[in-house]
Amino acid sequence: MERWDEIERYFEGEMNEEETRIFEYNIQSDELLRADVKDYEKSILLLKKKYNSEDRRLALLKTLKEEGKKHFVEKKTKVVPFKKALLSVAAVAAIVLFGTYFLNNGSLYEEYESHESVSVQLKGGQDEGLIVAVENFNTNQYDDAVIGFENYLMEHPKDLQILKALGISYLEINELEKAINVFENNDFKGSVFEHDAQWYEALTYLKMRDENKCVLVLKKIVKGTPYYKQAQDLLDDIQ
Amino acid sequence: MQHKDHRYITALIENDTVLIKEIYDKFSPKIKNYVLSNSGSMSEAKDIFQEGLISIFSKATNSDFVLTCPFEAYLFMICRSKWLNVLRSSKKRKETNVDLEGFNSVEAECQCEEALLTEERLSFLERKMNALDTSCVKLLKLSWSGVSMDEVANKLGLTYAYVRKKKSLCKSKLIELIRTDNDYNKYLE
Repeated sequence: MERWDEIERYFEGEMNEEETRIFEYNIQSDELLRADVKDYEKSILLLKKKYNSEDRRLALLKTLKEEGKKHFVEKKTKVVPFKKALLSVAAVAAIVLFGTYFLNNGSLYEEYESHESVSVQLKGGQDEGLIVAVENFNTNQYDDAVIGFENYLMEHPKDLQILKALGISYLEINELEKAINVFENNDFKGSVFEHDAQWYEALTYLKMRDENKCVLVLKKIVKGTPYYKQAQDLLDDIQ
Repeated sequence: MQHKDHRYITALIENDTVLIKEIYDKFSPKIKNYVLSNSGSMSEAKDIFQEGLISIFSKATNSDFVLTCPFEAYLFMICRSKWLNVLRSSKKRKETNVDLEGFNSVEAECQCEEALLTEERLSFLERKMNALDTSCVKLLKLSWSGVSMDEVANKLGLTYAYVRKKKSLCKSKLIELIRTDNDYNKYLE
């Protein structure tokens, strides 16, 4: 354990010149220390940099989502008018025909993603941060909701209603690995949110376009549970 | 040598909205066209483009990254790799239409592979983080978010000495989890 603290001090620049010189000498001569330093650099240091830039990443994600909406516009319906003049004896008659065709670019995920029914109801006496996060969630401001939910869950990790809402928020903002981690949480098993977690896990894999894993999760949704019908429909669509 | 397009990397790191708009204006049509002409939808094209930019951000903030090839080639390679992963997981869809002209440089491919490797490594590390107990996850995330150990202790209602000791234990446990995972060699070697 002290070894990791020493390595941390080295990377944090907390060693004085003499300590640094000795430590670097030891790295050269001690194979085990060399391996530890390498692992530390590739794991702890990487995670640390990641969490240190988390706020910036979320801010960037917000900008990208806004730009994305402007540059990737779904052309759901396109009306193509065309005119075809026909031969006319009096040289006046013309018939205009209109044709319409529909371009369907929607993915399966979009077809099944609807969660109008998902909203979080709070009892009285909740902390202010959570109230704001829930308001953000209920008004589809998922980026902001995530921050509030994460903070709240640090203190209340067993609040499954909020955990589910956090998972859905991750799903919405494309933090798909995180969403999977949430929906795979063992605490959902046997709880009233078990079926919701299964369904949203399947949807997350669908959004990840990992159809194999999506199918595996859908097959776990048993008859008689609220998501059975839509799970079967989705299975049919995939297969 | 740093490519002149490195300014786009800086723009992502600094969330420069003007340059990010330029990135979308200049580079999104090619990637949109690639995804749409290879069994993808508009929404999937949007996600792939966004994920590509986030991958670049992650790479750039986690290392001393220097762009040495044109940004468009780099971004296209990353987005294409991501889309090929999607196609591989689907039985019905495959890549049928790709124009790599001007994009198939060794430099762009290498930088693309590095970015994707960093992303996969981070995803593996996060899975290991989440296997720790909640108090460890909470403490490590807080202490790595730029908050001082004094503040961490205050926020968690613990003493400074305890928090330091606990952090050390948690780190130790995390490294043990990483080293004993079957995928250790794949992601850390």
